[in-house]
Amino acid sequence: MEITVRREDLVRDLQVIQGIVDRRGAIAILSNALLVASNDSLSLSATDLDVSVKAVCPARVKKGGATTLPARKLHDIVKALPSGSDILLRDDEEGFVSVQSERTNYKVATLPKDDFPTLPESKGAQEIALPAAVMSRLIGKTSFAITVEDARYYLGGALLIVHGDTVTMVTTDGHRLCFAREKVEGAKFKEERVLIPRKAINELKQVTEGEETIFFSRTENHLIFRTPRRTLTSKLVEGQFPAHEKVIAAKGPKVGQTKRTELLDALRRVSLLSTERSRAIRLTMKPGEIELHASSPDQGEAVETFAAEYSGEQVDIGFNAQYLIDFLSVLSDAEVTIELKDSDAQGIFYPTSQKDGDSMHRYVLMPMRL
Amino acid sequence: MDAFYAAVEERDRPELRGKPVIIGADPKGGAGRGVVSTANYEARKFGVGSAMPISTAFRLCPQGVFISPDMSKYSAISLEIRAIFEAFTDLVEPLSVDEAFLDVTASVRLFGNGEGIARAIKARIKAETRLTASVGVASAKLIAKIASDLRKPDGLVVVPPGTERAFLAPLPVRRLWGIGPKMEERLAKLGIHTVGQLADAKVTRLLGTHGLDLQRLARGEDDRPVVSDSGPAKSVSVEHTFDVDEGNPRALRKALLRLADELSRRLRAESLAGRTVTLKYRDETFRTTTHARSGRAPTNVASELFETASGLFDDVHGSLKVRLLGIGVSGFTEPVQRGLFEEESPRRGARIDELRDRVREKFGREALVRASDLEDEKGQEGRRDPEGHPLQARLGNPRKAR
Repeated sequence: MEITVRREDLVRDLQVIQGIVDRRGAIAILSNALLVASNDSLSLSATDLDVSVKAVCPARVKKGGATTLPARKLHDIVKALPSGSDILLRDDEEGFVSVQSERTNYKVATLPKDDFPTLPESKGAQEIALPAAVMSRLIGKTSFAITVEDARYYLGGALLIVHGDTVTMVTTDGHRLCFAREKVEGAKFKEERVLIPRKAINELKQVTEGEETIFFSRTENHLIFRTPRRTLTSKLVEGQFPAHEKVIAAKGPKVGQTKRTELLDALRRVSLLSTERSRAIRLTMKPGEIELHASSPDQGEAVETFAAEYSGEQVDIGFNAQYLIDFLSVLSDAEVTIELKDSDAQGIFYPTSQKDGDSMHRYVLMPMRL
Repeated sequence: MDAFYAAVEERDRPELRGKPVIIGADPKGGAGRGVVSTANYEARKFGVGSAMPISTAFRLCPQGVFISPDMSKYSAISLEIRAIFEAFTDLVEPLSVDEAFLDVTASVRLFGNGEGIARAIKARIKAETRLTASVGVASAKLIAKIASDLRKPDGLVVVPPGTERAFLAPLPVRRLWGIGPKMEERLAKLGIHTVGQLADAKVTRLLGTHGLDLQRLARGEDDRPVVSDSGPAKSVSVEHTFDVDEGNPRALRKALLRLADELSRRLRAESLAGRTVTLKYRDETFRTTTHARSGRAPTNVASELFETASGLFDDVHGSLKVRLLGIGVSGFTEPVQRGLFEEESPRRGARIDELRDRVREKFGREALVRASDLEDEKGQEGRRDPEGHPLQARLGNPRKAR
């Protein structure tokens, strides 16, 4: 193998694949990226056996070939080299690859390419073309609510639904559920529902960047997301995503509106005196205003009141402040609508400007008993 | 409690026994400026009393052993005693670190009359803390308080209903609350020396409204309720003392399981769930330790309580035999995050507990028992049905049931 790659191309792709490699280093080969040079490109692959990413960048190939190199180390090296430089990769010595730029010369130890696991391929499975921007937005709107608890692995991902002319993503950790749907003009999707594991979601966001279309397919055991330059594969997760339709359909009879940033800032200020563990705050919606209150037995209490459009009966409800902050932070809208029922029922939050229709973003949050 | 601080020090330092012991400020050879907190009965013979300047105490009793108070120690013991009170009634109003009012009206059916409860409490305090307490039993707080002070140490004075006034009458007025040395002097000028005299006197105008209150007290009229300050329960716990110190791991696990079941039942009965599970462990040398672990979500599920408690037990249990095991749950007041899908997927253990409650309610306590309760400590089936057939045969191998 003897190739020349532009530093910027290599950094960008290494950035994507280094998120995949095994952090614990339990299996040495999984810390490495597979480099394959052929035609006019260099492909880089990494896998943790559950999720794999392959990225292809342009290269001047003098001599084709394949090898594996420690992904993180290679990323560090290439990043450290001067911008705009050309990088020469050459395996001229058994067990090593030399990485050269103008003045610097590295000799990096390799592992045998045959030790690298074979990555799953779509093998003619039927592909669905999705707009990459839509996927990216849906991930941005919902991925924060994916559970980080491993105990309920079936919640540990995002549910992707393509149906008719809509693409939907739903996430939940059992306490809250976030739902986002976008309409794709002119699309006619066959219905498909898949659970995308958390780690794959994080990668998918990167894979979609700068792309126009992403092709999605599933095989017996894998999900595959492909763009012309990148491929993400993920093992299918067993388990039933909870029935979210009922949760999403819920309505609260007490409806108020307020400025998103006012609510968000107030939450950040007031929650400073909520207990560290529960982050509990009390939200009181009364005619014309919302009051937030937090108290911690050891530290004291905090109250903030701000204007809201509301004319109904007063309602008090406890929430985890962080859960509210999470949602409000991914919105960009000026106003947010709050639907409540009573202190025991879920709160429903969505951007006020959102019209009833095919695109929607909705957050359902269970209260805390204070 | 009798000479509480001093009694604690005497208990923990046997060499003090028989000597005058004075707990309070440093006397600094007679130049100290603090006061006496407590003097033991030996020291009281020298005229030393609480609230007396420590320098005076030193003058009266220079040979006394002066000790500065160890409040954290006394508070811990105070909590132990409080727990004993709470075993008899939940209406406990602490007056100070070593005094409390108990309303046992509702406990009489369970534990016997006031006198019986008083004796039982005294006995438990003695057995568990090696300290003595004096108890007054009466229909009102004031009378009970005065009665408890009358025969210290280790006293028990019962004032039967209807005899309150007669009981108070011969006592000096100083015994009443609200009568200090000044008031005593004023009353003495009016020829009032005993409580009975005050009760009958027509002098209340001279003493103002305060006089009316005093006269009411003097007549034994005191209807203030015992107010428990504890509010909602902060913890619920159960414990078991083995008849013989227990070393068999099977038997110990079984005991824990029974405790977890019992605790779960009590928590569910009060609709409580807590995040923190505490294991109380006392070994054969009487060394007692407690160990706690907090979970993410509050629980009252028997299987979860058992799991946490046995985890703690495994960490603490060594080669010594066990005298006592207890499990407690606390952390009820913390905000609880509710779940979206609770109705659809209640916790497995919670459903089993609920079913068990229902079966027992319908068919009796013995209708549904744990397989482990059907065997004896050696793992043999022990219990039999009324006809003498071993119960185990119907329920499968208990060893697999775990």
